[in-house]
Amino acid sequence: MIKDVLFIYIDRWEFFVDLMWEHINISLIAITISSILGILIGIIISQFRKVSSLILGIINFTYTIPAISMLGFLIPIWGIGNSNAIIALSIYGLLPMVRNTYIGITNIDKKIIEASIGMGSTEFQSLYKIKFPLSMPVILSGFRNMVIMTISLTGIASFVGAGGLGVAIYRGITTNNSAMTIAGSIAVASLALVIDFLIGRIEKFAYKRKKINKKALILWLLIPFIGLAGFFYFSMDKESINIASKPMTEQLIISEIIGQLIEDELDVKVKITKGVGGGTSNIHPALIKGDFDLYPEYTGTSWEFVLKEEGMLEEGEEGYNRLKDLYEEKFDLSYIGLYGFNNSYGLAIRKEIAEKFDIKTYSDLSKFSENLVYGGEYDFFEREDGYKGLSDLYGLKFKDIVNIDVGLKYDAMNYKDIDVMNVFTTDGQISRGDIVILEDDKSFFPKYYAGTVVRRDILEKHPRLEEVLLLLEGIIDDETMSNLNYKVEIEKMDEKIVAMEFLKEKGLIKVK
Amino acid sequence: MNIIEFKNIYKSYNQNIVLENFSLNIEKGEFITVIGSSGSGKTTVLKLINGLITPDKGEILIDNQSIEKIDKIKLRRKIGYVIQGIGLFPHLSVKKNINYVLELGGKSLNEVDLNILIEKMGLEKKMMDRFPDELSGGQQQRVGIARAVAANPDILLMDEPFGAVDDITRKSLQKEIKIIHKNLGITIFFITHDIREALKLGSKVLIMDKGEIHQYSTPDNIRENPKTKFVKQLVGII
Ligand SMILES: Nc1ncnc2c1ncn2[C@@H]1O[C@H](COP(=O)(O)OP(=O)(O)O)[C@@H](O)[C@H]1O
Ligand SMILES: [Mg+2]
Repeated sequence: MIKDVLFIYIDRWEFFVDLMWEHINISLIAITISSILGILIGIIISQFRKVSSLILGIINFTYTIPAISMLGFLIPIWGIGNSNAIIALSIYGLLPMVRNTYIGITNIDKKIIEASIGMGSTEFQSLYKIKFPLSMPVILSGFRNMVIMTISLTGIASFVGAGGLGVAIYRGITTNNSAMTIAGSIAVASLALVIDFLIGRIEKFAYKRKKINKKALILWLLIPFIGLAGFFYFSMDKESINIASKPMTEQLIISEIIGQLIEDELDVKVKITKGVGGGTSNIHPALIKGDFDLYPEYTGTSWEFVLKEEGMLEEGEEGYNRLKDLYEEKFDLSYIGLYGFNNSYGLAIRKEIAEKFDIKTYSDLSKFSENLVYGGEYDFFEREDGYKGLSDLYGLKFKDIVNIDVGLKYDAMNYKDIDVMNVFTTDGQISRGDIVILEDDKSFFPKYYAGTVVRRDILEKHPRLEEVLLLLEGIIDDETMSNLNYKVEIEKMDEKIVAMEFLKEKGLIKVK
Repeated sequence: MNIIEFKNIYKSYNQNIVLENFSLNIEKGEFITVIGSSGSGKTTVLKLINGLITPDKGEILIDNQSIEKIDKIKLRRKIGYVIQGIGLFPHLSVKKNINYVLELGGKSLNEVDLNILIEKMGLEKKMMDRFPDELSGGQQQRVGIARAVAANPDILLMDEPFGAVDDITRKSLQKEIKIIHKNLGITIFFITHDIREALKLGSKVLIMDKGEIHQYSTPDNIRENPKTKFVKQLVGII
């Protein structure tokens, strides 16, 4: 495992350096905002004690909101991406800053403050000459906590499509690559430790002799500027085409394929936000808002989850056209092309058995089901449209039914513990070749064909975009997709390379 | 000429009445020492002078001008203040502490004036860049006084300034404050709990108990004609 992690660092050091830099930038902006705002609020409530318990109460309350929920709450307001993360992190960072500033200032010996006022300081002079410097050690310790917390929390900001090292962690989780997750986590932890150490040094340096060292002050003042620079660095990317993808291996690959194809065909920068947490429920609103320009989506999801239509979407051209029309009408979004594969529930059977009894369809399966063992995750047995509906429609009666964890299903099949199981039709592990996907001949499961959903104004802005996206129409079938998934999930290849090789193979980008 | 006048002052904290119909005149150039039982309102009277406390009723005149009409910030910069328990700013060097009042107005002592002040207060130049906690109690007290007189104030308020120093240091501090009073022609309002100190330093002694003035007179007169039982007891201690 340690070796795997090391290899990841070596193999993808550029990837990690970019993420690290982005991580630092996001954290730094949030830290700057929390510091300035937190100190200001802290000072204000220390001057107006009457409101202090109210404000501290409110801030304490926001602190009890789990970070993930906080990020989620802000999506409707700030959309997806770095700005959302920065706002959430800044709000989080407020508490230690406000509290420590408040405590620092209110705990100063009253006599000293009285002396400063009694000698003719204005309130403001007393604040910046006496109270602020004297509370600085307490404020600094709050600052230190806040910085560590912010750097760590930035690790989960990729949940809302922000960048930073969380991308590696999240990528590792969605592609079942634990070495990647560990590599990302270690990087976050190391960053936090290094920064903590550095602040510790600055603290020592600044308080060598109690008075605030001028040099340290300058360092302090530099922080907002670095933060601002970072902010501009992020806001520059506005002109690119922004692609989103859900947190699934398949979507990571498809978004890379789309991105590389667009960059190759059109002279435009592409920014891919990979693995947006919450998937459609967060990406769709962000697309309408304009935070993203396009993303791969599934017809079934659009129909049931986005449009909330009753019943199944009709098969074929007709159904797809209805979906297209509704999307244009309701959201001003275009569905462009279907890649070909259908990622939905399917039943898989061990190849051995399929060949022996010549089982090709679910109906064929029903004739032999009495002799076979079925395995599926708990969830599938619970759903109305899961096992129960399926077995009723086809008259399936298995010898035994086993509850089994998703992650262990394929192994169980390998060890012949189970003979039949439900899978997703593009699962990478299907490509191992010892199982066969059966045909849903009575169309029990809804279809989830994948295609690209695009903002219409982007299509107008880039007249050739539609044509380019249509290049992908019908060229990725279930098998191809599960093959690509296999490469990323099992062979641990980088999805960028997988996407590039695929495009080359199809002759869609020039072989360099 | 009166530099400070209290006219029928009332002051209470919540329900606790501290001053009731309190009147007092202080002439320019006097060295007033104030003594009385603890809680009798001495500090309250002192803080009324620099406006840290405002009276509930009555009028205070500084230089014949009602304190209400005077800009408090300007007033305080012309009144030196030596706080009970020293009150040096721990994060500022000795030099910065001394210059504090002047710097509030954007000025600072020139080297010559600073050296004179240092000399007069029995301090040393090498102490200027140190911090308060690197000085002895007596040295800190000297810095406190230097800080209070650096801006050349008309009035100097001192609240039990020598309470926490040893006898030898106190004696020399007493000597020095006397010299300062003589040289600067400043009006001093000096609270102490030591009757010997009060009688030794004051050109006039103010004796208070429970918010009331028991006697306000020269040290000689107080020794010879103690007016009340309380004063007799105080003087009798000697
Ligand atoms: N800020 C305050 N709030 C409430 N009571 C006070 C306050 N300051 C002083 N007192 C009370 O007023 C009385 C006089 O206090 P003070 O003027 O400090 O007396 P002294 O300096 O003679 O010891 C005391 O009973 C004291 O407890
Ligand atoms: Mg007192």
